[in-house]
Amino acid sequence: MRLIKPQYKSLSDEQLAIEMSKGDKRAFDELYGRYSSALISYFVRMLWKDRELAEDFLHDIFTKLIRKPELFDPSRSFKTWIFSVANNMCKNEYKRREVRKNTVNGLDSSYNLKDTQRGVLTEVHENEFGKELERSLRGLDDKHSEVFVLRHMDGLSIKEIAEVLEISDGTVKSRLFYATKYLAKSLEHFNPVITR
Amino acid sequence: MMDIEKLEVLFERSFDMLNPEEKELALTMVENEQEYESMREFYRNVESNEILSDDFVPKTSLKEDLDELFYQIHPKNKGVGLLAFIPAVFPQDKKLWQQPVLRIAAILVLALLLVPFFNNEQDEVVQLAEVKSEEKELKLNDPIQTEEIKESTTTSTSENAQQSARLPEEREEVGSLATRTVITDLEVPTPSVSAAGSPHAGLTPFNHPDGLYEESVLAVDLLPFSEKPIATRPVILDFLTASF
Repeated sequence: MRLIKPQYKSLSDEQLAIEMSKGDKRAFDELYGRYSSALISYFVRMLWKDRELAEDFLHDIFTKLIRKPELFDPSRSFKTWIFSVANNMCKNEYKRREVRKNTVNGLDSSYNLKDTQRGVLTEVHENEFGKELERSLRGLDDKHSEVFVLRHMDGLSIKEIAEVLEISDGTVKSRLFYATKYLAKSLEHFNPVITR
Repeated sequence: MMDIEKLEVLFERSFDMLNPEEKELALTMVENEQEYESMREFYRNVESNEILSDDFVPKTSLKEDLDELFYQIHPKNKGVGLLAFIPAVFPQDKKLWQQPVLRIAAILVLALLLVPFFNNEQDEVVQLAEVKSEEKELKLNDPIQTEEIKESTTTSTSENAQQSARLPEEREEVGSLATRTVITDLEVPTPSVSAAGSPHAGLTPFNHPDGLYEESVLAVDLLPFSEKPIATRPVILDFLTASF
């Protein structure tokens, strides 16, 4: 029996989605707070650093959630569900444009450093490494790069990635291993031990 | 199978630091030590690179647009104010017997049914106390009887020293008057002294409300020997002692 308002911070994503589908605005606010940043970051990474496009996609995904909340199955994890929707949106965009490669060049200006106390050399190194990684990721096919992005940039577990992409855990591990091996070879010059 | 999770655990240490079993496991996934170190360094760069995991923040206008859309879809919940408790009390997803309102009502009905079985004795005690206090209040409010109490009190206190010097008849009069007044007012029951066979029969009551009586030498003398108090016949005690 619940006579007082629920503590939205303590509710799970799935509970929030159910409350939101009933028209609970605060549940929607909480869900948006939890996922807006992660999703726009994912879209930015997956959509050639196009921030405008990423914001459009973020708007679209939450619009879908508001208009058709029944699309979410509460028996599933909300996180994997929303990332799988986001991933499908990206795939559709790839198909629409047909060609994903060679669309963006240069360092993205939207990079923001969180820690200003870090050394300049470290920042330069990380910027350069990030730029090279972006290039190398474009050299990978989609199925390998999306696994890598979900794992190392969006912080999803192997199991979550498997649910998002609707593939087996073993396939995720295999693709992730291949992507890591390929990228490590591409960025070998960043390794001081090897280049010595 | 290339288990990247196991390899990620091994990447915490350089190839030289791995034990033979771990080296064997690593070499099932990588070709040689150089490739292991290359992948390890890349993995460490990715994990420590804050830029890669840097989160972007969407514009506030985007949230405002979504809020507007939300209110279009769910107009009834815009500014619900005091009616916000209704969904909590009448949740639509619960069955009738699970409704909070029904449960509260059931508890209230049970409580109302059980209340008459409690505190019956206490109620009676309370009623008695109320009756006594009402009587006292009524009598204290009576001006005539209050004056009598005051007079008797002042008489007994101011003339206390003189009483010992007065004759028994005078004390008897004053004392009996005060006693009558107090006994009448406070309704303190006094033992009857009219029993014919009692050794206290014929004694004059002393002016005290708890029923003590002043001993009159003359009255005792009037009684036959067998009915006199034991204190006036110490000889009888001697007979009793001899029997042991």
